Amino acid sequence: MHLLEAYALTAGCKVNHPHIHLEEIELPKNKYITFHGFSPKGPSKQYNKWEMVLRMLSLDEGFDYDIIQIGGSNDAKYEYANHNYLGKTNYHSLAYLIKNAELHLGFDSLPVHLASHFDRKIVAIYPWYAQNCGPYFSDPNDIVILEPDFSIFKPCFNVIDKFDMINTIEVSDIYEAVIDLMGK
Amino acid sequence: MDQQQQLNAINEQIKNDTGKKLLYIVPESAGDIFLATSLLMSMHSLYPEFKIYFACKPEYKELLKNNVYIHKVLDYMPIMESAAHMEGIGDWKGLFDISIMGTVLTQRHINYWHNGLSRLAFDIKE
Repeated sequence: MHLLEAYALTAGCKVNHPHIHLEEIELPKNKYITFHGFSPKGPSKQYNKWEMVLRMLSLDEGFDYDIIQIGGSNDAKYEYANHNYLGKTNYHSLAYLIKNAELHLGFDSLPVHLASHFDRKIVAIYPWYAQNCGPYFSDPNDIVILEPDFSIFKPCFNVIDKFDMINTIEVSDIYEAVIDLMGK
Repeated sequence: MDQQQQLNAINEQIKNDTGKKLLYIVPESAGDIFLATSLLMSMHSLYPEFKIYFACKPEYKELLKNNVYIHKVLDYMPIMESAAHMEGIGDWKGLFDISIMGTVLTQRHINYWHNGLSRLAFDIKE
């Protein structure tokens, strides 16, 4: 069950689209994807190979998009992101930035839900079941969700994952998912 | 703050409001609060004569800016999770006609994981 469905059952209400106030900010001139890679909430969501994914995208001559890194001002910066928006957005300007992106790349966090609300393409990785917390409003054809293989170890559902399951996701799978979705 | 101080602080924010009051509580985090806003149209339709108060931690209140279904955004306080204190019990009249702890199944008594296999027998989307 998705957590939003648990909210709906608890409240006895149906699900419509969410609401967020939009605030315009200056957008990059080129077409872009938003990238959210750093998890300040603990290592279970932290993928250690994002830089490799971004490098592969940057080297791909067919990938003609800027990469905009989003997040907080204290987040680690990724070298292969073209633009650094860390700490430069609030909730409302972040929503505007994502609304105008061609795709969002990241992990289980608010930006994925914003991208889903705005029908953006999404590639997202999860250290637990995406059925519980993934992009709820998206057309399944517009998203790729990557999870670890949980057949041996179950998800930790915690900020600490002693099996570091998220880092079992292959770099090539993330890269190919972005390329495939952008080619559609 | 002790319980009485929390009740006083909540009451201070709503005491001049007339009519029926519904408190919807989602303490955190940003993604959860954003998702929960997708229920407010339905909530408003179900309870058109109620004022809807949305309670969350202060750092997330900005997420609810300009939401037409919300009468007021309140600072979350732990006592809000007690329906008896919020809705009343015995000789205590309470502060709200309805209080809903939105995240009780996801953040307090977790009951939605089900190994990613659960199904719904009805359409929960509007």
